[in-house]
Amino acid sequence: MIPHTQQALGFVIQRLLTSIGPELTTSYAMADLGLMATLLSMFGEDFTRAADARQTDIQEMADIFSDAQGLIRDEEFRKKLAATQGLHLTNFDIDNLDAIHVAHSALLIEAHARIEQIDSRAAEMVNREIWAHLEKHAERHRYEADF
Amino acid sequence: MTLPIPELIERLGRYLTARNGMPTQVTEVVRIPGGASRETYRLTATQGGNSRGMILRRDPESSLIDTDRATEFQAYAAAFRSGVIPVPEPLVLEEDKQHLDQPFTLMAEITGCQTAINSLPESQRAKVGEQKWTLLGKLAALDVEEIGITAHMPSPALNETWKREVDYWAGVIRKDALQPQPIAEAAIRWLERQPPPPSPKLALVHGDYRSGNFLFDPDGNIKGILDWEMAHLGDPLEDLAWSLDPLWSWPDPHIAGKLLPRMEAIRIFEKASGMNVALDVFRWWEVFASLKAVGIWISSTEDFQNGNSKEPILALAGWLMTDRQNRIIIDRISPNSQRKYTELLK
Repeated sequence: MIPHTQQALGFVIQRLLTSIGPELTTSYAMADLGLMATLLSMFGEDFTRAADARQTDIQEMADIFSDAQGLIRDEEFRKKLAATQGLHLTNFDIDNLDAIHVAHSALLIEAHARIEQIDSRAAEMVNREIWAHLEKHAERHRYEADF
Repeated sequence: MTLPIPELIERLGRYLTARNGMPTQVTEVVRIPGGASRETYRLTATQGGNSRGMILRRDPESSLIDTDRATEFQAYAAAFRSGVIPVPEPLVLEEDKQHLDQPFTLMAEITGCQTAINSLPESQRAKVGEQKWTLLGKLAALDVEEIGITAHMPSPALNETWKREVDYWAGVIRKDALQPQPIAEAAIRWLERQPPPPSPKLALVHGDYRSGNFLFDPDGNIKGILDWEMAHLGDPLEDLAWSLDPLWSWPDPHIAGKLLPRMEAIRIFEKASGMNVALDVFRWWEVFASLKAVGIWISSTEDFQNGNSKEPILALAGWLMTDRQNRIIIDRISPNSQRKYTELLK
């Protein structure tokens, strides 16, 4: 296991920029190296938060589906929402979390479109809940790279 | 595949010699960083003792923006003919792959200029901004028939300009997204629910009119508008909204393109174009601009992650800018918006 991965990547970036960069002879290669260094810093950001951000997203979407169920008349779609309830994550492998995240996100798109069509106070509340989730999701996955 | 520089020199020299009917030497070829949509090179072509700086733009196998180089070339040509919009003189459009393995264009080089706004002294920013939005207003005011561009681009009906763009970029997002995009999908529905009124006129839309896509000299004079690869006929507000997107002034939502306060840029555009910008209509085009940007970033991510291109700019733009643009969209249309990244124009 690589301890302190983000820090280790930081050292790799430093080495690239301060030792390899000055050896390059074209502005194109230097610009390329700068881009790759920025990409590595983003990998570092993503690595640290990857599992937590995904499982938090999944839980928030499941909560939305729970609140939306009662507003949906389409029986088949209501069943899809109900199927997400009671999910207990035990496998935190990123590929596994990604697969669940993708399935939930696709469901969220459909649920959001349906909720927008419903004219009621309850639907408005769920709509706001969805937007609150989208905002938290975006902030959770934001990159701090200076570019 | 990128050609080695010596091979590029030899093959381009042979091409120009045959085209011009007299020996032409190509020298001083340097690849220019930043051209995410085409490979871009600076070079010198010498013929009969006369040397001329040129810019070669060669299609890559995959790029940030999937566009037709003939359309881009004709847009440059139309702008050049107008005599109002400064652009490099377009010289050669070659679509036959036999010469450089990919289609390419050649343009006259505009020397002594740069594109990096960050290197522009604060004291010159307002001056450059004044020209930037004046030129955009003049572009909006051009008669598209008079500049001869309608023969090269589809002319949508005035009440269809918005729909053509939304349909196109929604299609790009749905085709290229590697994971579901709930924020972009919400924006698509928002745009379709409340379409803007018909366009006041059909304009030549640059398609990527922003800081970084024009050349200015050391005195802060704009000498050339570049990167017309997304040019099309459409609503003039499309370019204005794109030029004011907060991404180009990130993280400051108030100073458009790091040059001017946003309302000041709009007033300059109004004066030069003769148009009045209705802010409620303009808001629709602002949301559209953010959606289009997401389409571009998603498309570039797809190119990189599917291995079509190994250019790191595609990955960086795809991941970092999608993140920022998603936050901008939320800020623009969420009922809970706290306006952290965008400015509500009044």
